[in-house]
Amino acid sequence: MNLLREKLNEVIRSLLPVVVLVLLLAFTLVGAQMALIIRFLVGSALLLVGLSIFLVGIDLAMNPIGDHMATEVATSKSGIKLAILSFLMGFLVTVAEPDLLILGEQVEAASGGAIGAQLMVYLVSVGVGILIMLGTFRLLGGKMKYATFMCLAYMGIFALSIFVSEEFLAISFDSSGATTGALTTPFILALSAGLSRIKGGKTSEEDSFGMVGVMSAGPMYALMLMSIITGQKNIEGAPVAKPPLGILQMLPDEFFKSIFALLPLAALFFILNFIRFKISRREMGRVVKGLIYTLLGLTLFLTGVYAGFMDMGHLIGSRIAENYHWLLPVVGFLLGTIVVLMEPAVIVLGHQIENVTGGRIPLKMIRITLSIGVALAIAGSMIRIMIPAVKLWYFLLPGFLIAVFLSFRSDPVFVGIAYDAGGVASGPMTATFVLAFAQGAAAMTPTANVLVDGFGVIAMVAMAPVLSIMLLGAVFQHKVSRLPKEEHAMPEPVPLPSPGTPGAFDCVVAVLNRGLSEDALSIAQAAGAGGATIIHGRGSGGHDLKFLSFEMLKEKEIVIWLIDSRISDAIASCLHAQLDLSGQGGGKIFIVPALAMGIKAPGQLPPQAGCAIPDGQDNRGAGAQP
Amino acid sequence: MIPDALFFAVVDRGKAGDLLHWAQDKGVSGGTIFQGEGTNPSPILNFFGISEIHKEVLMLGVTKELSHQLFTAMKDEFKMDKRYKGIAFVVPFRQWLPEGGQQGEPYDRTKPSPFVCLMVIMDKGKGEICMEIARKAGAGGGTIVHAHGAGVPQDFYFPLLIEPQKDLLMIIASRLQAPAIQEAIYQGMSLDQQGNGIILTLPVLRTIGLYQPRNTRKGGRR
Repeated sequence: MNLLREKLNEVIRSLLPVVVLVLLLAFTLVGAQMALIIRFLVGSALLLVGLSIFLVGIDLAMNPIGDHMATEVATSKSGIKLAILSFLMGFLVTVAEPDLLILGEQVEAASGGAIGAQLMVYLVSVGVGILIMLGTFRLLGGKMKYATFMCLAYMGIFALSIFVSEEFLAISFDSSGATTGALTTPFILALSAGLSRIKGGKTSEEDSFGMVGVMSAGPMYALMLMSIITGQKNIEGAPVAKPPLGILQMLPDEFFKSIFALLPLAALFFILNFIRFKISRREMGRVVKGLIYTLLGLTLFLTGVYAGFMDMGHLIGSRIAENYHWLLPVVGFLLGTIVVLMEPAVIVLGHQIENVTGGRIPLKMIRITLSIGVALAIAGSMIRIMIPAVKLWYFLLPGFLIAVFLSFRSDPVFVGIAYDAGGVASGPMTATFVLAFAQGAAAMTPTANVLVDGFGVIAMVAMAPVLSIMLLGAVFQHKVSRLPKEEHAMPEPVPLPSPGTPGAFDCVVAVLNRGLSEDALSIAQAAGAGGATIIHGRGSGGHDLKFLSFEMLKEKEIVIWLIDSRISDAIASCLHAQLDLSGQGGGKIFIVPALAMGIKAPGQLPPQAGCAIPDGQDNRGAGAQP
Repeated sequence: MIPDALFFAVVDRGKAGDLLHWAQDKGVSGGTIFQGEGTNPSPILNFFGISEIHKEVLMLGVTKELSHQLFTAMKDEFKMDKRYKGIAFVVPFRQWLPEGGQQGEPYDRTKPSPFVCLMVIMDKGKGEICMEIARKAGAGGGTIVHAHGAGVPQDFYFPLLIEPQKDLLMIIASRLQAPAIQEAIYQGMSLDQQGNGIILTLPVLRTIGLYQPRNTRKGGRR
């Protein structure tokens, strides 16, 4: 299965339920015109092709770019350079976000020109830049726990929210949804994965997530502070659904928007590449191809969504509100369940979870939790439209408070994923299809205020997954804490036996639980081994954790040393004696004979297979060389 | 009986878990899974940059008897003798059991094995270049695993242990082909200079799923 086919498969699997449900509604309850249905189907086809190509592009371009930038940031020798670079990245990806400019124009119109669109975009970008910078310092410094950091960030937001009007609260939360767009989120995800990979250590898994959550706090601060300082309290506009254009008219428009969004980031990368990275032509080729795919894919995807999905969403919302009022929350729930899995960033986050945890956290589990969260959020929004007495902050405030509280009792990896999920779920699909649906519903509900209720849907979608995944993490943590404890004691060192007879090389392999590899490395080094190579994997054995029918395998580290076979037995015994591997699934040490034809010292002929290796060779593993 | 061989299976992403479950039903106590990438020689896919294939590698300690059972099952139930279904192979090993003490006899190095597993450990990103060299020298395909070396403290703003990122390339080759491939990699990657990487060879006792191309050397995809 090649990459494109893999992505196509993936996208079809999440697109199909959406198409089926929408067609079902269109033919039964809604009674849509044939022209609209055809438009929707064409849009779906564009979306399928576009999203698949886009995801390939993200794999080829965005991941390496994030990786190189992360290396550049982390290996800064001065704090000032580190600060400027991380700020710049946050600023540049946000300032180019098309959704943010649209929101800015709405705010400008609504505030009667008191707040300029450009000014707002810059303010929000500065907010994101500062938070990315703080987040980077936290991640690399490692002094503060992520949960504490986010708790402080949200406490600040709550404190500010006392001083702003409800409309502005909604718009602030919406703007954080608009900032975490289709392009920004994959880049920030790649960046944080890169940073944590470089930092390594025991927290590297949990550090790979959470930067999207950090960045989504930026716009809220920026907008709330702006509201307080300028005294702007009332917003009278609403996210305006664009008048439907023909697909062909839309293509060039979306193309330029995508170029505009991609340009600053690509430019920063090429400049840094020219000065610092100087990557190989082969890799450069991949990145350029990837950028082209990203651009093409994003264009097709956005065109498909705008052209095919928006009208349909509006129609479904208004017709159901008109004829089957009480069904609104149910339809909202169903749509929410399946639409969120079409968000590009959700798919990218899924891959990152799989890669970083070595497949330990089942992707399905995260996806289902995410779906349920978003479904409840949209159903809640529908209730809010139907019953005007229910205010937005009835949902937002308790939701975030509970999430913050749970973050201290949740598995650290889930905390990062949960805060990320909020930004990730509120992408282009939500901003178009779901928003159009909600506006349609509000337009046909006499008690609802279209202008006020339009805002806030994105905020709800951004809040609910944070809560639902945090809940999952807390339940998971609870389960883990009830498992029998594993103690990794470090017994006294054992004297190293003298080397035996000359021989060839051996691979000494240790399969250990996560976090033990550092101890193992130092033990082996003390016993005379050189460097080692470490692979992340997952393993079963002993008490596995069954969780809601999902199986959670333990995360393992596989450490491989290449050692002269005269001392390999001794080193293996030493490791075995000094690492406590007792208990089921605790770890394993074994030796695989490597034929001596492998390593050659300069100036020596390769020894024949099966013969002894000459003395005095450097037997250090590749890991010994930085 | 104590395990005396290490069973490896390289399959599509997501399938290793099934395989592990299946093996656990057969009495294997546990296994380890890690993620790798397959390589694809197709020039068309390479041109478009989408030649990457996501794979998973399953590693199990097995006894002789179990290894035989596994191979039969790989053929009958997982159809590994067909092309593109993945490959499996076993490598001899000795295990230190949790109860203490080393188990099993040292492998007789003079005994010839029908296949060998070439492992190349080099800096990240060089895996594909290395695979290309190997393919020119007659190798069918390989699996790249992302790994990292031990941390090296460095003088940055934050005192980080930078873990050098590595690619680990695994190639299964027949004993006859192996020296040529190995020599080509050694020369092509300039492994004679320190820091460029290392290459080692493990004896392989048995394989399944290796596709032997009829006329061309290209195509054996793992």
